Parts: sequence; structure tokens; C-alpha cells
Amino acid sequence: MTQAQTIAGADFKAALIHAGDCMCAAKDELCALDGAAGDGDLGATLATGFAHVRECLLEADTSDIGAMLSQAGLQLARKAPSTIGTLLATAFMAAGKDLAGVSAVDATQVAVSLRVATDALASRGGATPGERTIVDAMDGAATSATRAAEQGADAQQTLTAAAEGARIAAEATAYMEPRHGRAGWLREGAGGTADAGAVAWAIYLGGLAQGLAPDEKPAASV
Amino acid sequence: MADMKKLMNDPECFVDEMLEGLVLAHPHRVRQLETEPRAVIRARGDFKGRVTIATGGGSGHLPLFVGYVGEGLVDGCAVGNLFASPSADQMLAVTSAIDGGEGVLYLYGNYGGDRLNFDLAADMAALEGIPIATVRAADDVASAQIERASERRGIAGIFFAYKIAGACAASGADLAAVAEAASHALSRTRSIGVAVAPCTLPTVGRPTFELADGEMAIGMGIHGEPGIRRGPLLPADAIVDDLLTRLLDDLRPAAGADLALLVNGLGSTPAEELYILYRRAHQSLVGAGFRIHRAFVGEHATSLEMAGASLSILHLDSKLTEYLDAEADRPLTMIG
Repeated sequence: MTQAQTIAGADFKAALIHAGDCMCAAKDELCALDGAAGDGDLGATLATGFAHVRECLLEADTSDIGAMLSQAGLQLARKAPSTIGTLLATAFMAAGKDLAGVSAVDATQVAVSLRVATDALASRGGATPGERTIVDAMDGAATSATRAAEQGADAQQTLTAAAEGARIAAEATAYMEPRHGRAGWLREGAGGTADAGAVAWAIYLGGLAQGLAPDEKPAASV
Repeated sequence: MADMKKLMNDPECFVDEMLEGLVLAHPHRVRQLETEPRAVIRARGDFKGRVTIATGGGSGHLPLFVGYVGEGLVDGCAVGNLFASPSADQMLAVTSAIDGGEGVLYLYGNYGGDRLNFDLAADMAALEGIPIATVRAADDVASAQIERASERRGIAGIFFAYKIAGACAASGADLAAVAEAASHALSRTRSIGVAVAPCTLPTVGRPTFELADGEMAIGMGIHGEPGIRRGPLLPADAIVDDLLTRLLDDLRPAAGADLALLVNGLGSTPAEELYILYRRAHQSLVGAGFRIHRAFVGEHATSLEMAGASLSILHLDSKLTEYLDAEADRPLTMIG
């Protein structure tokens, strides 16, 4: 594997910051989606959390991608204490542990860390794909990333595939029955609205992919 | 809001003002961390070189959870808003403050929000090099069938686990042994409640559930989670007979076993009524050949001003008896 096929720590850091900015910019959209079935504060919670993640990433040492992700997770745990914040903190910290000491990620590492993050969040939240939660988007992303990596995509293309997988899976949640959280107790149909948590993950990964390739159009699904 | 009559100031300050008062009243026993007022630890702070125990949960259940911070009980507590989990960060603050270098046991009730946050706090503690073990109380037999016992909620029976784990930790046992003692105690503890009137959250202003005049709810949870049977209020003896049958069917203690019995008030049921319940429970259990080794009657896990009671039974063995009888502080709300 040549150097060009991996994502270096400095580029990854810039992309993480851009992804967090995209999450903050989507605050109102996410609050509106969450308001359809939940408290309506998801976008605001995540915007607060990722604003603090940004501050901490600006100071981060770029030689350890795992440490950057763990730090992001810790910030979310501290500054976004809510179900979604705690779950995302779990996901970031699991990915951080998986990539501890790694200074540049290749395609396989991207795919594996997305899967590790997904599994950690799903097991802690007690959700499986198909239940209209963030797990749907995370699972879609990890699955697309694994396929891309297996087909020989480089790290950046793998992340782009992950973002596209998350976007498609998030859109599909509009047609699923909720089973968790307040949406689950209400037992009301989703009514064609996508799950706010799933959309949040799609926005984040979209921002991550875009942050790595600011001049390129998002690539099509692999 | 017209019907809510509470002795309080701004409802948003309810928990913080409660904690402030609690610490002012009992400065020799507990203190708040300066950096995180929702983290309360034992004032004496002799944590070095031993396993320590952290608990936590939503407010509104005094003396649960923070009232069990004491000698021979737990060492620290993360205090959440009313009926809401504390944050992982608050739990981590407790953990770091009480870590004595031998690991920390997380001992708390089995609720989704608390699990999520304590598990995350354990991940964060691991990054700081603090070993964590976790034991959750899931003693409420009304909250799930026996086949799904691990999904049950935790209620007043956690009191026994605090005493057992606290005594075990004080004896100098290692983290695995303290966790095993707590989980052994809980595997032999069962609880069930009955509610006769709901409570009102200050920040919400209306009752958490409705009960018709003359109605009771068997198995109601301490946040007003639906019970297993609603019906007309029965005489105390008949209620106790119903609750005891459910507890014994589930626990199946050995014939002639030693038991510890807790009759817990849910918030606005007077001690008089609790002793009327205790009387029947004691007589029935002794009549069935069991021995009551120790009895506890009073408010141990409440739900604000909910009216009603819960019964908890601990099936003792020699080790559990030794730990239960060990010297320990009383719950904070019972001391002068």
C-alpha cells in the first residue's frame, strides 16, 4: 500500500473538524426531525457537543488518530449528556481504541473502525438495524465501507462510500417503525420522516468525506 | 400547576438546593466535589488502598441513592435530575475522586439511562487506568417475567446490596470479590411494590400516573412504570399475602432459611402502615417455617410523595449474614 492510499493524521483532523461543522450547521434540520417523534433537542445537543469537539481537535496531536477520536468521544460525553450524545461518545471512544497509536489510516482500517463503532453503539443502546435509529445509518456506512475496501478502494474512497451508505440507510428509516426512545413509546408511524439520529450520522460522514476531498464532488456509491 | 403544593423554591433548583441542604446537614458524612457539585463522596475520604463503591441515579428517591454514601456502604454517588440519570462525566468525577488504586465497583439500579452512562463512565475510567466492575440491581419481580430477569428494574432491594458490598469492601477484599458479593446478594434478593397514590415531579406539575379513588396498583415502579395488576384497594393483610406469594414463588428460598425482610415506604405512607404490613409479612414467613434474621422498616427507596410500600426479601447464607450484620452507617435521612 502506498502512502497516497492512506489518510494522514493531519488530513483526518481537518476532515473531523469539517464534519463537526456540518453537524453544527444542520442543527435546525435535526431538531425539526427529532421534534417529529422525540424531544426536539437532538440537533441542539449535538451542535453543542461538536462545537466543544472542535475546540479540542484544534489542540490535538495529529500523530495519533485513535487518540483524536477518543478525545472527541470524551468531549461528547461531557458536553452532550443525552442519549444520543452518550451513544455517540461510546462509538467515538470504541473507534479511538481500535485506532490507538495509528498515524495514518488505510481503507481496511477505515472500514473496521466504522464497524467497531457501530457494534459498540448498537450493543450499548440495545438496538439492531431496522429499528429506525442511528444504528441503521451506522450499519449502512460500515457495510458500504467494508465492500469498498474489499473491492480495492483507497481510504478516502472508502470513507466516501461509507458516507453514501449512511445517506441511503438514513433515508430508509423514514419507512421504519420506531421501537426505541420516546418514538418507540408513542408507537406512531414514522410518517415518511427520517430518524434524526440516522440523519445526523449521514451528515457527519458526508462532512468527513467532503472534508478529505474539498474540491471533488462526492463520489457515487461503489 | 394549580394542584401542586410543594415546599420548594424554583422547581429548576429543586435538586441542587436539596443537595446543598443535605451536605450542610451532614458535613461529617458527605461532601460535594468543588468541581462537580453533583458528585457526592464520603467526607472522611479514606479511600487509599481499598476497593471503593460508586452509585448513582436520578433524584427523587431519598435516601436512595446519595443517602447511602457512608461508612460500610458506598463511597460516592452521582446525582441526576429528578428521575433522570446523571451524566457519564458526573459519574467519572465520582470515580476519580474515590479511586483508591484498587478499582471501583459501580453498583446501581438497572435502568436504560443509568446503564448507558455508567458504561460510558467505565470506558472513560479505563482511559485513566481505573479498573471498574459493574453490578446492577434488578430486584423488582413485577417488572419482567423470570425468564427475562436480567431486564428487571432495580428498586429498594439495592439496600441489601449496598450493605453487603460495603462490608465486603471494608474487609479488604479485591474488586472481583466485592463485585461477586454484590451480585451474590442480588441473586438472592427479590422486591415488589404496591402504589396507592402517585407523585408529582416539581418540574412537570402533574401526577406521574392516575389511580382512581379506592384503587391500588401492584408492581408499580418507582417512577410510576405500570404495575402488573390494578384493582380495588384490599386490606393490608391481603396485599401482603399477594406480594409475598409473588416474591417467594420467584425467589424459592430453602425451607427454614434465614431471611432479611425490608418493608419500605414509597414517600408518603406513614410508618404506622408499614408496621401493619410488616406484622403480616413476619407472621406469614415465620408461619411458613422461615426465620427472620433481621428486619428493616422505613423509607429506604422512595418516589417523592408516592403513597405505597414495597417488600424486599434477602435469602441469607452465612457469608451474607456476616456482611449484613457488619457495622455500617444508617441511610442519611435516618441520622441526626
